[in-house]
Amino acid sequence: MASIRLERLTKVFGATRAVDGIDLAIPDGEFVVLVGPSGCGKTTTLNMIAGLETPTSGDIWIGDACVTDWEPGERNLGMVFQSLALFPHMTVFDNIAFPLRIKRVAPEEIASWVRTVSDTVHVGHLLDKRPATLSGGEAQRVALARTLVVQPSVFLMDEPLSSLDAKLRVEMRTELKRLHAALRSTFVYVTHDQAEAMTMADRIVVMHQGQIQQVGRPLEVYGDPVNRFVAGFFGVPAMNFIEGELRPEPDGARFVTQSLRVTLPGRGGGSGPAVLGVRPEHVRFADGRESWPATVSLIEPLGDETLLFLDYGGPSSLVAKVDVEEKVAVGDRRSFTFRPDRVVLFDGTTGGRICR
Amino acid sequence: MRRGRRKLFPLVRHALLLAWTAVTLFPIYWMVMTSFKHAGEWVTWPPRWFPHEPTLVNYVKVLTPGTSTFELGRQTLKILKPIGDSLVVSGIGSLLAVVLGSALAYSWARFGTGGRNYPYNILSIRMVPPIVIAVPFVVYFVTLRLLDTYTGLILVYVATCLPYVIWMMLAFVEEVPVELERAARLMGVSRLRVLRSVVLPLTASGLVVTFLFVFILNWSELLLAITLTNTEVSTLPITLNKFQSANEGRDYGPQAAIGTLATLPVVVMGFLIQKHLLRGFSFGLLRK
Repeated sequence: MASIRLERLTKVFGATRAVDGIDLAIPDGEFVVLVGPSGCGKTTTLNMIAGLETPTSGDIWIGDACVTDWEPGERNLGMVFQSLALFPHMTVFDNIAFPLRIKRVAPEEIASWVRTVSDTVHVGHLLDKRPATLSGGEAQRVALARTLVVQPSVFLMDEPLSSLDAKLRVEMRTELKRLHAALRSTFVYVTHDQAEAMTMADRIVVMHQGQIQQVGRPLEVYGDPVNRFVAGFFGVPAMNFIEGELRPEPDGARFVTQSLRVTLPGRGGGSGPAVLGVRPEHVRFADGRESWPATVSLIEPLGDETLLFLDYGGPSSLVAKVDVEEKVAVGDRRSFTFRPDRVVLFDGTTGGRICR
Repeated sequence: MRRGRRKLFPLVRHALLLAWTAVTLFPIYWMVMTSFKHAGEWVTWPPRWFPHEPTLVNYVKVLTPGTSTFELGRQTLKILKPIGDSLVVSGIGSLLAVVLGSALAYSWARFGTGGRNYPYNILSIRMVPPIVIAVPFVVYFVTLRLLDTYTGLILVYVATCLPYVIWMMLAFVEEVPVELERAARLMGVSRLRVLRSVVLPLTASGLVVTFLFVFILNWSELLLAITLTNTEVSTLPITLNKFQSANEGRDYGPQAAIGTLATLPVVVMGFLIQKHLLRGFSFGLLRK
């Protein structure tokens, strides 16, 4: 069992700062997901924790030890790679037994360990096969078994589910979460998939351009993003962004564009160019004082919900997520409004959150 | 019409491939046949496709140690020594080249040793025609007392083969995913053990094919061998060459016998490593 602490961790490749002075504390037993677009530094961070990349500066602590200069093998970590990295010239049994053989465990013990672990992840019937003959899901489980067998204090996972098809990925997601609940070890999981981050993480670390944007529980990050990048990264379909201007009012603020005038009571302190963000599920049809007319230009039924594209006179359509029961057809003129308490505002130039 | 064309195309293709196979194999066929012919049948018109009275006399002459005299010219024939010399020089030279070259290829592929252009610089050595380096080598070797020695010829063969080995092994090493090595490193495997347990088994086919490739190069190399050796060391191609000279005529029969004998080790080796050849020469395009 071990906690992890990163202190001003930096990695520079040539002219690019892949990881730019990040600080992060991961308590023992937490499932942390590093998420961000490709090139954001999440994999580099993971590789530095693993010891596969040497930090340019900064320190890594695992438990009470500063492991920055330790060899990867000395850190008592288990890692599952994106490509799974099963040894193609060994059988499944030998793959799982390999880390034990390296540790010079007695052969009888190896056999019993391999059996126990392979039953845990349901690959007991595959032990004589070669990795090349396994299906994606089976290979995934074998890779997990090989990591589990040495009982590492920290599990590192680098997009381990990205090679699976969509259905299997969702299944494995649940299974990994169960595994974490059973083991209570520290998990550090890297992905570019916001859905994986949302569903599995105890805490999400959002990274962008080598820096941590926000650390928080999934619903915090989703509902209370610190900037426009985080807000846009989570949620499918993405949050609607409307560019306009913020004007101070006696009892709050008012957000104004050519076609919209949104009063935001109780939100003070802002003026100047701003971006209003509202999630599709917080756009709804309503008639009243604070509503605006729009034309339904496109309908995308998802089965459980329906996505509507509304042309309200702005530069791009507004996406709304409505109930499937909603009777609506392309070309309809309807009035819509936002849930005022769920609207977020960002600075027009920096993208930072304003007027909370 | 369509259906007819679909049937015709594979036929035409196979016919063309068969014809081409015949063209490439014919010289070898002719060499083997000639090696079993009496002197009278070597150059007759119309040509004899098969020896009418098959004979081993050419082989006996070629393989008998010591001095022997032929009907067509006088040659001191110690074919056994050239075979041995060729095996020693090509074998050790190729082995050293493969060991050094694959180490270099690995370190370049994984750690960028020598900088980005290093493999290209090394390849440029191969762009120089051997004749250009042959004479300077003589000068060096006179000073270093390496002329007409095994060491000397082996060194030259290692040097000339390194570019090939490096370039072939680069392809094979790059095919081994880095993540395999990283996974092993995380398990606490030392760098050397990673090489032995992961990289070596996965590049074995490549190593074998590369060895065979440079071995064939060295086995049939004439120019450098003839320039840098004299009497102490004498490889097969040199011996073969001695059968064609203005003074001593043309001993086609024994020449063909030596040629056939010289081909044998390579063919045998090919059969022994057959399973590696397909994987190796396809450069991983076919997965086991």
